[in-house]
This record gives sequence, structure tokens and C-alpha cells, in this order.
Amino acid sequence: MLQFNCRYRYADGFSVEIGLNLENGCTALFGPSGSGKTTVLSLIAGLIIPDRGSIIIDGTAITDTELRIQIPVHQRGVGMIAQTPQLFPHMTVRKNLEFGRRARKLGFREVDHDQLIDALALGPLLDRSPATLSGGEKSRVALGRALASRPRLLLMDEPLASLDEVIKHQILDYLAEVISRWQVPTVFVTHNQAEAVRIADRVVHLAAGEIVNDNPHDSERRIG
Amino acid sequence: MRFAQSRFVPDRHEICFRIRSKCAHRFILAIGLVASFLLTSCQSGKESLLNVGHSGRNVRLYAAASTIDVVTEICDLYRKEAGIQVETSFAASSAQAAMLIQGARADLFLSASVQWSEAVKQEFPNAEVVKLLGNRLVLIVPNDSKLTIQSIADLKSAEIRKIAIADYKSVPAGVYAKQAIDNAGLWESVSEKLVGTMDVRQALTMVENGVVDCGLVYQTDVGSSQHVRVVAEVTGHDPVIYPLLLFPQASTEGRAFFEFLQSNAARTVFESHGFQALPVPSGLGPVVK
Amino acid sequence: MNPLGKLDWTPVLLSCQVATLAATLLLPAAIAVAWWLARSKSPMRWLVETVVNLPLVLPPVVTGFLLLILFAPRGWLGSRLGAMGIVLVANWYAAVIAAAIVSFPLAVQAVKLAFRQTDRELENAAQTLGAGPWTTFARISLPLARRGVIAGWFLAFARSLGEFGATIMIAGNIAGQTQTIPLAIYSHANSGLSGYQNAWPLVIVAILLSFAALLAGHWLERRAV
Repeated sequence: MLQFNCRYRYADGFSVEIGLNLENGCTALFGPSGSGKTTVLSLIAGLIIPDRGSIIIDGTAITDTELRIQIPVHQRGVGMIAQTPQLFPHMTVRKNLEFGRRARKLGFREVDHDQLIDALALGPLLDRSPATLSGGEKSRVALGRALASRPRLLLMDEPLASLDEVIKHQILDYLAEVISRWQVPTVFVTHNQAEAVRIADRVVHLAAGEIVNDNPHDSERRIG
Repeated sequence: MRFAQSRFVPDRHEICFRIRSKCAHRFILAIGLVASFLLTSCQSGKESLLNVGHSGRNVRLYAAASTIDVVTEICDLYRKEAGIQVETSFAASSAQAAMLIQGARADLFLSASVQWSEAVKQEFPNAEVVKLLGNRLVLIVPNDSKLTIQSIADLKSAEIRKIAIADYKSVPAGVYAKQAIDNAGLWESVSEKLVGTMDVRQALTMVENGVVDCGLVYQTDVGSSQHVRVVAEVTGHDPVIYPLLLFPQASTEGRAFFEFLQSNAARTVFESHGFQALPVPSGLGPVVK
Repeated sequence: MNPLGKLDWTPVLLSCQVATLAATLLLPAAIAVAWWLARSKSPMRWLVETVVNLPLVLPPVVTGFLLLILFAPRGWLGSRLGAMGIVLVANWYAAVIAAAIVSFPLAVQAVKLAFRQTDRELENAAQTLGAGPWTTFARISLPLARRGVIAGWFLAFARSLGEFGATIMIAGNIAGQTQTIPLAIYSHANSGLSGYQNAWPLVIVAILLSFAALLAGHWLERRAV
């Protein structure tokens, strides 16, 4: 569903050149820091523009330097969860969750609003301010908020990095649950192999801006 | 490895600190240099002040804004003839008087009205005052104005929406203008249209720029502008008289310039600018060379 | 003796009206310029920033002079406005314009600082949730910068209260129309010693008002967390 083939060079000379072909399901991009994982996500989300290359989702180009296509971030339908939850501090949890739905002008039904709240156990948090939440709660809200905007592809950039082990496992359970239930194709960036294996249908190993090992292990959890 | 690193870090801090303190030293040094420079220049200034009788010190004249052109010309003339530089300050006579009363140092004060020379004389009872110049108040419009006004009585016409005069509470040109408007019985209908200015020259500027429809200024102000014309002479106010005041503490150069301002040479220049040089009272006559 | 006994309230009320209007009218423009300055990568940024800051360091009389040339009925803008029957000199509007121009840079600086401090990641998050640039600005960037906006308003208000040089150049000294507190004080102070007496109540009010404006701005800024 996603064809990715881009080159991006940073001002300091570090350059990322990667070709990827992703199926539906959950793909983990695994590698040490500085291997280009976050760059790949930023390119797919449209936060940065590649020097050369193209990104195609479900047959439509969202980036193509040759055809001069660069769909703006908000029109890509690509959800993203950054390393920290990035909840909007001036809104309640409820408003945070509804942000994407309202921005995309969708109904509560279309985004399975209530089911999402149930699945992530967000009910008791709805009227609280993000500042009063624990780390795990924030991660759950961030996950719910991203899914409630009905993305056709969900990107996650080490969403668990700042959590302690117990909470991390809890969130991984939630994650596995919602991904399979709503069948959202997901790209999951991590530097933790255990995490990568636990959640992903396929693990792509990156180092120094290149793919070193692409291992699409078969899994019953693969979707579509 | 770890040891090496942990030793390296404080090293770097130390270097940073050393560089920074070096910068600070330079900064302090620079401040010191500037300060000592200022101090020495102050001292040399004091020295030259002490040598007054020898090389001659400057004369300081506070003058009404309306006299800027003519006084500047006379000062140039005086510098060429007597070799003495006159420092001048031009502003509304009221502003000058306020500063002089508050203790500003000057040798001479040329006021545009008796009101302000008297106010200053109250503070300095020993000051000498002569009535030096006379002037007239006129009604002006921008050159290209299509207004059909002929006298001050036309100010109440609806055509005229804004009239510039100097601040009528204090500035002489404004005070005279208000008297004229009052005496013509126009205050009720005109006061709403008045735009006050800091001095009479600003009133002229406002007419020149078309900010207002007309203005009341001195006849002598019009000569300095190509963009306005006089439509009427204004009467009904106290005579416009410029008293010249010599402060009791004035230097000998100040007195010399006081006398020069009353000389025929100066009178000629004043008259060429449209001022009336008033007759000198007998007994106090200027030294005519 | 009550020093405020002889206070003439007309210039005080006028100053408050002019300053309120000036600060309110300039705010949207200040927000737009501040946004551009905070986010643009244009090489012309420093030039725009310098021009915007110019009224901060220019003598207000120079600002007033330039405004006069621009807005006078024969000026470049004044002649066009005049054709439409709009006069923006020697009246109340002129006092507002002068105050707004002179206090503009202060508001821009305060808002710009707030925009610089907002987390770009939050804006990115909003965009990946489907919010376009305008929605992101209106619902994320601006609300997050609201303390800067409040501070900017009060700084502009306080600066407008003190505006003198540019005002007397383009608005003149018209009692009840353009004679704000500083102009009234100047007028009094020029009237000799009795004028000094009359100026005192206004001087006290000016100090109190400016103090209150800055304090209120500071307080609201801290409260609006």
C-alpha cells in the first residue's frame, strides 16, 4: 500500500536514501539512533520534503519530486504519534480527542469515537487537562487522538520511549488491540528489538541511512 | 575512556570560562577608557571655561521660534564681524521662558511677547529689557486654496473646518490669535476648529501641508514659505512686540551682542525680513559705530 | 490638599480612549507581522524586522513628520483618502494613528517572542490530524501565544498613553480631540509657573495609569497559563 523511495540530505551532510515497499499491517522500522528512522516518518508525513524521490499511498503519489507533487501535511491522511505525546495543553482530553474529527469534518460515527474511548479506557480522563495526566495516560490519549482522525496510515515514532517498563507493556497491549481492531496500516519506529518483534508483522532494519536487513516474517496477524 | 571523558568536560568548561573572563576584562577596560576620556574632556572643558576673558566664550541666546531665520542670519553676520559664535535655541517663547525660569543658563532672551519677558524678569529683577521688534499677525491659506476668505470674520464659515494657531494658552502667536478671535466675537463659533501647535512655525507647516484650511501666523513667517499666501491682516490683538532681555549674569560678550542686536546693521536685517525695528528709547541708545 | 482636586479629566479620558483604540486596532496587524517574523525563513526577514522596529528608536517627531508627509491632504496617501472624503490629520483619528504606529513594534516584539516559544511539534501534530495552516494557527498557535498577545496589547496601550512627538506633529493640540495627557502636560508646562501647578495632577495620573497598565499586563500574562 505504500511505496517509498526517497533521498534526503541534512545540512550537516548526513544523508538518508531508502526504498521501501510496505504492505498493510504493522511494519517496524528498527535501528539505532541516527539510522534515519525518524527521517523516513517525517518524509511520509510531509513534514520535510525529499531532495529526490516519491512516496505513493494506495496508488496515489503524495510526494513526487519529478512530477512536483507535494501534498500538504493535513491533506495526506497520515496520522503521526511523535516521541512525546504532544497533547494540546490548552484543551481538555475530550477536545484533544475531537480535534482530528473536527478538522477533517467527520461525524462521531465515522471515527468510532465512543468505541475508541472504550478500547483505550479514556472515559474517566475526558474532562481533565493534559498537564494532570501520567505518562501512560498521555500516550493513550495521543494514540486515541491520532486514530480518531481516521488516518489511512499511522506513523509512530518511538511512542513508548519515555515510559517505564510496566506501562510500556500495558500500552503495547492497547496498541496491538486497536491496530488490529481498526485495521490501520502502521509504521512503528523503535530502537528496541523486543518491541519491534512483539508488535510488527515485518521488521525493517536500518543503519546509517540505509536498509541493512529487510525481513518480512510471515505472521497470522498480517492484515489484508 | 570514561575517565578521560569526565576529565575532558571540566577542561572545556575551564577554557570557556577563561575566554569569557578575558572578554569581561576587555569590556571593563573599554568602559574604563571611555570613562577616562569623558572625564578628561570634562576637565579640559572646565579649563576653557576658566579662560573666559582670554579666548572669549560663546554667547547663548534663547529666541522665539518666529525669529529663527532672521536671528540665524544676524548671528552669521556677527560671527563674521566680531568673530564670536552665538549659540541659539529656538522654540515657543513660553517654552523658553519656562526653561529660563527653571534655571536654564542664557545671556539673552528674545521673546515674542511682553508676557513672557515679564515672567522671566520677575525671576531676574536686574535684567535689562528693550523692546526690540514689532510684528503683525496675518491669516494665511495654502497657495492653491480655493477658499474665498477675506477677513478673520470669515473664519466662522462652514467651508473652514480646521484653523491652525499656536497653543493659545501660552505661546505668544496663539495668545494674540485668540485675542483677535475673541475681539471679533468669534470664539463661540471658531474655538472648535482650532488646532493647537507647539509654536507658530508648526502652524505654518500645517497650512503648508494642507493639514488645515488656514492659519494665523506672523507676517514674517510667511516669507520663509513658498506654499502659503496671506489673505488678510489680523487686528484686534495687543501689539506684537519682541522684548530683548539681557540677563544680569551675562558675559561681556553677551552684552556686546545685546548691543549689536540694536545696531543699525542688525535693524537692516530685521527689516529685510519684515520685522519692524522699534525706536530705541533715549538714553539707552546702542553704540553706533 | 488633594493634588487630584484640580484634575481636568478630559485629557485623561481621551488618552484612555486613544490608547485603547490604538492598541486594539494594531493588534491583528501586529499578530500577522509577528507570525511572519517568527516563522518565515525569507532572507528579507531582517530587513522587515528592522523597518518594523524603526519607530522604537526613531525620534517620535521624525515618525510624526513622515506620517504627516504621508497623510497630509497633499501627501501620497492623504490625497487619495481625501478624494474619498477621509481626513486623517489634525483630528482624533490622527492621534490614534500616531499612537498605533509608535507602539506597533512593542506589540510585535511581545507576540513574536510568544510565537517563537510555542512548540513547533504541536503545530505538526495538529497538521497530521488534518488541520490546515489556518486552523492550526487559529486553534493551536494563537491560543498558545495568548500570553504574548495580552502582553503586547498592554505594552502598546502603555506606550500609546505616553505618545507625544508624533501626535503633536500630525494631530496637533486640539482640546478634547487630540489633547491627550502628555500634550496637556506640555501645554501647561509651557505656561510658566502657574502651569507647572496645573500640570501636577496630570503628571500623577500619567504615572499611575502607566504603572497600572504595565501591572495589569503582567498580571494577566501570568494568569493566562
